[in-house]
Amino acid sequence: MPSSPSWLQRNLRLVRREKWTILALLPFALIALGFELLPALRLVAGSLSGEHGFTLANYQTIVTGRFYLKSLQNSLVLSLVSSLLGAAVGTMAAYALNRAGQRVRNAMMTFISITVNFAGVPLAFAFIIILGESGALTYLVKTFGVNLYDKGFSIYTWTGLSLVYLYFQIPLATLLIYPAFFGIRKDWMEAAANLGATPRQFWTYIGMPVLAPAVLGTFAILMANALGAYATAYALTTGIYNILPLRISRLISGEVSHDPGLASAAAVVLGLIMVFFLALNQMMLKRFRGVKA
Amino acid sequence: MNKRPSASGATIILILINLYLGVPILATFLFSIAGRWDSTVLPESYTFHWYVQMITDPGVLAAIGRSFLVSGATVVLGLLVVTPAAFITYQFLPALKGTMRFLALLPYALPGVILAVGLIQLYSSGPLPIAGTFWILLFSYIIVTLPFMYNAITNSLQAIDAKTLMEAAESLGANRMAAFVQVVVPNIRPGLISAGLLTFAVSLGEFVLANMLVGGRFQTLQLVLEKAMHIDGHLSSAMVMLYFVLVAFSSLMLIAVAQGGGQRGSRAAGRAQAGSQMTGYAQ
Repeated sequence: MPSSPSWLQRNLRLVRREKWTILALLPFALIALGFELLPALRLVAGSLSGEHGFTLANYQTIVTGRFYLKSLQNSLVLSLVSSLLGAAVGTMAAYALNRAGQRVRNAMMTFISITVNFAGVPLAFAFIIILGESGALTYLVKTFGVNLYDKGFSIYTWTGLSLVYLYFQIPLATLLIYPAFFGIRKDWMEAAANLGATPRQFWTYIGMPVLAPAVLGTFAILMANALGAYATAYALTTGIYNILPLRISRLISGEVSHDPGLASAAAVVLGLIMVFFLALNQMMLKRFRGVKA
Repeated sequence: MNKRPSASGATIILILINLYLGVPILATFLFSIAGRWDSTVLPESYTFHWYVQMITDPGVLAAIGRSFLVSGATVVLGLLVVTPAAFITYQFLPALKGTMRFLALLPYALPGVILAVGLIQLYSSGPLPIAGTFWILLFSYIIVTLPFMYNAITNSLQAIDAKTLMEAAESLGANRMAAFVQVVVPNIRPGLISAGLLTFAVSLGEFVLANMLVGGRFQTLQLVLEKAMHIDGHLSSAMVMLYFVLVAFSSLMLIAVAQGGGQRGSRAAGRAQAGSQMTGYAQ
């Protein structure tokens, strides 16, 4: 259809008739072009260009330089741990909320909706207060004779970072998984029980498979959420911990290691990983809707 | 038969999650009203000194002003620009719907740190050197908040069946502009308010772009907080509480709008919906 000439003519006529309407679209189009599309294109172009034109050297550096691979690995591990735990806790929370009474459920949902935006610098600060070297909880545990910081724990390295990341993953996971439990109908449980299934059997063969796409899709969102996170780790480690977002930021705005080409390539790599997880989520979303229909 | 044990299991899960999510906030609050708190589990004395210090510190006050300015401007300009665009593609140019949806989805794949790398290279020099100014923050925040701006508006348009409304208004003699401003906009107001609240909360908490694009040249609350937290913990905790109250207030308003907007269904579902709308942006 798009190749037939009447398609073009029809659209030209449409454009002429809707001149003012199209003009009203212009401010949005300019902002989207200048601050969304062009930056994305500039990024790709920058990653592929060196002093003598086109080059793959930036990508080569990322793949061969241990420094960059390590930051990618750190990012993936941190995101994986916090996303797996986050999805697990979120599923349990959604389950518990489903069983809770109306009042508890409403209160919890409100609280979770508030905490979902409590992330970044303020969250990092809150965790330093409780689990920093002189934090309240660190002190409390010390009174029981356990010195966390002698045992290798530190809020400023990856064990601490995982705890803080987990904090912002749990509310998000709970809110995303909670609606999936509506898909499990009460009469299914009754029917299964009438046929002699134990609750364990019900969850293994019916409950879990129904929930699986929603949980996996949520896991993908959590991965994207953690991989792109910057503020929390920046505030906790004053920007020096070796994860990909912090490394990218030092490459573009640092004075010592300034290398826009390399920063662009690293950003493209991170972006592609994000796209992978977002696509996974979209796929699961479709499957989940399929189950419900 | 086995209802009791798993019901109490559910209660235990909820209590643990409440502790995990609540203790950091509670501790920050205690810290913000603590006089002395060195080597004890709970503070030794209490004071409002840090709040007084916060609201009398010109640096902090200016930062609060800048944060409100850029967040407010993002809400206003975002609504002014995205509402007509979403409406027009919905109503008159369905051919562009796919493009709009793509533009509204792309920011999820471009978290702040990635977007900043492109923006810095485009706007540090060249014909439009606005890096380091309020303007680059404003325009990039509009992109960052575009996904839920667009979704909230489009969902509202669908919910009120804007197409039929427009036809009715135009058949009664209203021109297109009047029909949009006087009929469609008032009807999608709950959606616009939701979009605005979310945009405000997210812009207020935004750190990456502010840090990488403007840094010291336009110090927002988040930037000042990040600097202060390594120097003065008590002052920082007062700032964190201020930020928390603002975000909590936005969330509560959002829930109220979601429940009052004529959407039937359980209140918890409304909360879940309002909450999951609030999850647009990674920190």
